[in-house]
Amino acid sequence: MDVSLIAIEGELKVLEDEEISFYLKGNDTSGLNRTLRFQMKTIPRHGDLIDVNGRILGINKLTSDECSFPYDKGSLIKFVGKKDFFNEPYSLERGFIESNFTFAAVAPSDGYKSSYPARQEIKVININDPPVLTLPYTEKTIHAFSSLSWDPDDCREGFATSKCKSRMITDEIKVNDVDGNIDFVRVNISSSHGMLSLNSEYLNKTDFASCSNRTQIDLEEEAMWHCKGGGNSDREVSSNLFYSRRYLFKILISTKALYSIDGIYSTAS
Amino acid sequence: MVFIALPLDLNYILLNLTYESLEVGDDTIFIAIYDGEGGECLSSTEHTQRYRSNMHMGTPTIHRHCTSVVRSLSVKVEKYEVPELWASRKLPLQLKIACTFAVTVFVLFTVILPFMRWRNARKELSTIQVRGKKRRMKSTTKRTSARAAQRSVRKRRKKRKTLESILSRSESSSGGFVSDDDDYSDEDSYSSEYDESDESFDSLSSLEGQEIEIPVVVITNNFDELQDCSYDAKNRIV
Repeated sequence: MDVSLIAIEGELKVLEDEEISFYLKGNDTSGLNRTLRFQMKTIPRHGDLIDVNGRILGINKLTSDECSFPYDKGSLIKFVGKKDFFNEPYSLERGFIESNFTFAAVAPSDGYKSSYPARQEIKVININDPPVLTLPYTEKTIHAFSSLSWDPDDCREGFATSKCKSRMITDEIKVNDVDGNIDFVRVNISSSHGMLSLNSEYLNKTDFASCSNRTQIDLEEEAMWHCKGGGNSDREVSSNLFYSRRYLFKILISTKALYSIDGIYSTAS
Repeated sequence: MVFIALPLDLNYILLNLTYESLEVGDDTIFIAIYDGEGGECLSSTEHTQRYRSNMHMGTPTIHRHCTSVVRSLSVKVEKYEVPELWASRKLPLQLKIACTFAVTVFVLFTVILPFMRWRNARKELSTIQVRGKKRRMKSTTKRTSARAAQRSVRKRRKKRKTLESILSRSESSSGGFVSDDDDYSDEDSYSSEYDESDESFDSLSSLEGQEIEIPVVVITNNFDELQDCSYDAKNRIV
């Protein structure tokens, strides 16, 4: 260990799913002005360090790029984070996810003498990703619900099963968001003439109230939507313009938004 | 319905999402999730408010646009075949109970209650008839007793007439006069008088033509005539 060699710790911020090139820096305080290279002591868990030659830097690997006197430039490497990885923002629920690595300055010309390791912090900032909604089927047949539509399989309130003919239970709807529960989303569920009910056990996880009149919340923007219903036997006529594909196309053009319609993603220019 | 939720919570919220329809026909359920900022998504203000309230730290999420995911589910709503339902014999207990109750109520109100009312009415009618009979019987008895009374009155009149004739004979024979008190005009007083002396009158009639002492009160100021009369009356009744 050569105390005259110094590896300088640093911190960098990078956006999710983006790579960043940066310099590892060090110094030789002995006055010998030795050329330095950097050796990886630990590597980041959620990404790769790649040197200028395109080689992934593992533990104890040296950077290809040399850092010469007066050491102002450093040794260039690249960080490529894992897909959809981010560690900022963090929440109590999600916890703090570290993404750092340690390195030491090495003088190859002087018997690979090494400095004390320094820590390089990497903060990967979340970029909002669209959620993925999966429906197990696209078509289902049920029997009309009426006072006489009692199901032979004892289909009644609070006892709804997938066997209920009078009610359609849409099981296995999966929602995945790589961003996790960081940001809130707006959900719109509607049908033409049916009644829709959410899982009553988890209605406390929904917010129908605070967004029922959004003009009071946000005066800067024109409110395009408001929360409706209460999650139980709600009826909403879907024949409004919003659900027509033509209207969706209009939104695509006007908001330059990324939309996913029936599983096909398209980007508006 | 439109609401705000956290994306991963939707796995629980949409678990067993229930659809019911009263209308027969084709329907489509749309599930749309809007994630991002502005327009159809939450505004930046709303994101910031919720970001702070959820104790998030560090650099907030960068929302570049408003993204949406729309999924549709076609539903074919068919009419329930009622006969098939009844024929299935698998009706739930509640419906069975409800049907039984309805039938019971129907039968109760249409058959049993009217029958009971009819029976009660009939009973009352028969009671009224019995009362009427009794009344009639009572009135017959009354009539009989009245007839008997009339008969007795007639009898008494006859006896009275007999007595009067006796008295008039005795009067004519004595030449005196009989007190007006003996001249009964009122039938009631008659009857009361006769009631007391009914037997005595019978015995009087049997004594007709016999010589017997009968005390006769004669009010007069002619003492000579009185002596003759008393004598005559003492010895004979005509």
